[in-house]
Amino acid sequence: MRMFGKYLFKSYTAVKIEFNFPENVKYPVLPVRLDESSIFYPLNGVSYCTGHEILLAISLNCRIKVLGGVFIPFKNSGYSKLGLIRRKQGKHIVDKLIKATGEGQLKEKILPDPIFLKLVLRYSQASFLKEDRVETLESPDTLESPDTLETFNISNTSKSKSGGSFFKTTRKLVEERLKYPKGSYMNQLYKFIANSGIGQMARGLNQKKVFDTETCKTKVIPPGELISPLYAGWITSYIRCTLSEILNNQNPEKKIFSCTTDGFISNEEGLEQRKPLKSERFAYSYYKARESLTGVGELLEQKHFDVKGLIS
Amino acid sequence: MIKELVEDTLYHNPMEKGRYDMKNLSKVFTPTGVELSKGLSQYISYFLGSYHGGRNESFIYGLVQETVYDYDLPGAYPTAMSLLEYPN
Repeated sequence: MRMFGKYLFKSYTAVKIEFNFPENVKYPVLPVRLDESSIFYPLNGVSYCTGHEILLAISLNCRIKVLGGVFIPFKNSGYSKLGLIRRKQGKHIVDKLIKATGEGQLKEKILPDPIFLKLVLRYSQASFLKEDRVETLESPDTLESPDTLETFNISNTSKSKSGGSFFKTTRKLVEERLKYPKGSYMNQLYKFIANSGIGQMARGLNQKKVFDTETCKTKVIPPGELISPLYAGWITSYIRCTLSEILNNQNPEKKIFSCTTDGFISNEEGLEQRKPLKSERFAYSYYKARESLTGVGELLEQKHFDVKGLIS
Repeated sequence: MIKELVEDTLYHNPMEKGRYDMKNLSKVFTPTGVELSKGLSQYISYFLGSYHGGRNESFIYGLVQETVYDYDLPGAYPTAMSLLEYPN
């Protein structure tokens, strides 16, 4: 995991970890499943989480033991397994192996390094983290990421061949939506199309049951054509991390009453003007992503306020 | 636009030797599915386990009698989707 640190943001990483946050962390960020429909965020426990959550937890000085997982980098992440082996074991060893076996077969021969237990199917750059090899991460320095901002650099997403089409499609939808006034039918329709695409990526993943009015029975939601646990997991964990990072960086003298997926309720005024610091890596990348999509950088918008208060 | 979105997503749904792809994912949940899909089920369990929905939590309970403000990340999920790239 240490070696993947620099690439964790631009990767599909899913891991099982044991973790322990310092007691002064107000909003721990690692999800733990309580039952089929409930997750909570304790100070310590065992969690199935993504690479984003590891990056954020480590920045909050969480102590993590990686118990197992999978790492699949983005196409343009710059990650190269052979490059990594060259750095770790010496260029001459790799060159010698390439000469002897040819590069195609070499991938199968890099197994002596216990981290690379097995290549995952056709993902040539993917790696399994072996379950019986426990690795401990204790501070931000333990991830090989000297320039952490570089990890979160999203500026070439729109130019990237491997991800450009996601960007272009989303930008088209956002542009169409912004042509119409807020709350209008067409504005809501384009919002619905964009959100439905993401909903379909996740449909059927958690085996949720719904009531079927035709048969009057509950049934498991079947998976859709667009289902992808990689994409769905990446999107939801990115938003959870952006929100959790904002919560942890709020003014400690102000209160946060609750949070709901992509927003929160607070008694602090004027947060819609807030610009993220570069050190707030998720919030900053979100701000830049909004800038690429709409031309205007924004992090938070105020939906409404209530002078009377609320029941929480 | 919708067609492009569908093609983008379908393009990289992996298949194990032509047996199963992601749209037949429900079969992986059965004992036979796990046996047949071999490599796929080994890594897919991590991704299924690490998929959680949004963070919904109450930090303070009871009656609050002061001005409260409701903030939102604008266009959260589409913004996250714009950052996606194909796996390597």
